[in-house]
Amino acid sequence: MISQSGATSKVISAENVTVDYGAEPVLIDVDLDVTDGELIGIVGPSGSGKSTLLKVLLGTVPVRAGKVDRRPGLAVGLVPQVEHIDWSFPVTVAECVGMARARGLRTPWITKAERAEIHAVLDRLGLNGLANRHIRDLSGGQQQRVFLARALFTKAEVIFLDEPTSGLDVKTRHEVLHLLDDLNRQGLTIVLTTHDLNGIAAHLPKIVCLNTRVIGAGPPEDVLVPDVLERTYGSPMHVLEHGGMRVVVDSPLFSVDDIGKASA
Amino acid sequence: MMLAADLFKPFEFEFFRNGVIVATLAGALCGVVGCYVVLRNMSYIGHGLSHAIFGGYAVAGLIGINLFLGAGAWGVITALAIGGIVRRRPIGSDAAIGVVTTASFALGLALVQLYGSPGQNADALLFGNVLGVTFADVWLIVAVSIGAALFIGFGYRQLLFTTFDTEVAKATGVRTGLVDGLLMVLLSATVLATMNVMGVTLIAANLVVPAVVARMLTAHHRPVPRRRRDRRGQRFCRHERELSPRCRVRPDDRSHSCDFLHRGVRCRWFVPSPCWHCCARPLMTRHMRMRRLDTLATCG
Ligand SMILES: Nc1ncnc2c1ncn2[C@@H]1O[C@H](COP(=O)(O)OP(=O)(O)OP(=O)(O)O)[C@@H](O)[C@H]1O
Ligand SMILES: [Mg+2]
Repeated sequence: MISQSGATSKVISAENVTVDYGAEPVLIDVDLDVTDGELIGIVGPSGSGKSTLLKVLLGTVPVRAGKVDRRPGLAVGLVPQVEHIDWSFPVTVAECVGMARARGLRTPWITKAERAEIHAVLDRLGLNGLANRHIRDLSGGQQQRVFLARALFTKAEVIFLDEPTSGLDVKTRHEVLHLLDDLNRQGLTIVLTTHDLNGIAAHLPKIVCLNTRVIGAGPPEDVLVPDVLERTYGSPMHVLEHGGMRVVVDSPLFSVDDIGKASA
Repeated sequence: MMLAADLFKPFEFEFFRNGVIVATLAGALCGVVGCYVVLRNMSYIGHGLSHAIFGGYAVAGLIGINLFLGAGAWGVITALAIGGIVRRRPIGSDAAIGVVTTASFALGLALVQLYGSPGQNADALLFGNVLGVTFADVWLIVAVSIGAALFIGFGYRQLLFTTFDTEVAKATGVRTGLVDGLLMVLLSATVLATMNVMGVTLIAANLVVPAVVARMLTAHHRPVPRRRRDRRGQRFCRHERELSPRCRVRPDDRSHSCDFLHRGVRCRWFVPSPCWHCCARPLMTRHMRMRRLDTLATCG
């Protein structure tokens, strides 16, 4: 699963990045290198700056200090958090995918060649037959894949996904994960954020634990350990071994009764 | 026969021909530009801008430059200011429009009170006069229409992408700032060109009403988001299914937590099988409830 050894080259690197939105810093001294062909997961509690870090790597958020280098001419794509999409916007799946090829002089309508390409991308992601549906009239997993298709259609070399599996059931989550793994094997570099430590993060070759600062980065064996997790999430967690995989669970000492007592 | 001749008689007069041309173009222009305005939740900007431009007339009259140029420049600046505020500040577009345009209007009124009206009376601006259009008005609106056609024709995808998803468009390399700015310029040019013809109030209506009607008519848009709610129900259930494969809830037991499922039961009216106690219940019609009771029996 992990990237090809040897001639791996950095595509994006962030050095000592600090970001504030005009108030308290949201990211402090963050270092992160994305090399060609990597599949990276960013985890951390809500508000820890995961989405912000993606935007920094994309270059849509100005940094207060530090610097972000992108390989010149790098094509990037973003699959936004589903909560940030205007689902009532009147576009079909094909139009949604097609609008992404927007640079330069283009016809307002989707040309025949582009239509064929769109259908190819949709087929590849298992969305055949849905090209003329409204984007809202799809299941959660299909909606995710439409936006992935949009990123692929722009021939992006690096794709960022913001919580690609939020609100999906176990089966669809597996499908999305397998799809991403396939794409990654075909050479696509992927950076995603997730809240799902066991379902997603534990399966990825590289994890970054973020809570304003980078608390830990590396393969799951190194990062999914109680110490790092506690410093990331601020609450005690246990890590179990299960068939060679790491499973993160809440501390058994911590029950709802305790929370009730603590707040009383 | 007689009637047809009567109908075409007014076309002998130039003022009438001009009026027809201008009214047609103004309708088309406002309709097209209005679509983008409505999709960006800026429906009130037409109204606001046409008031703001009033301030421009007053200032231009005061400085003694061409009224039209002055008002045009004023309108563009106001529109860009609104666009800029919306992009940079965490203020809704409605509030930004309200603040900027009323300030501009107030400034215009104050100047008119102090130094007198710069020529045109307020009535003409408020209500317009479609039969009083001059040849210059016709040319102006033709020019703005051509500009709009070029901008929307060549920039269609950028415009669509920026309107739908600014963040991603920016990340993908679309110059969203430029696109937004040009749209605002086009909007103020539209307001300016049609002000003499339709007046302030009708511009606001013409920008919003056709776009809203179009949005309700397009096949892409369904006003009642039923599927989405259904889907949420389904998602919840799938989750529950893994936890509790048995259904234990009785229809009269409202206190029980929701782990009831239609396991694999499909009903024509309610395909995604929602939970009994959770999200989907308030949305069910009586028919659905009856079906649900049927399936409850089969479940168990
Ligand atoms: N545009 C913005 N302006 C001001 N503050 C912002 C902005 N976007 C995010 N923030 C703040 O930055 C912090 C990090 O936000 P971010 O969206 O990156 O968190 P996240 O880790 O993605 O959270 P979640 O898991 O809930 O999506 C939050 O405290 C948030 O309030
Ligand atoms: Mg986020």
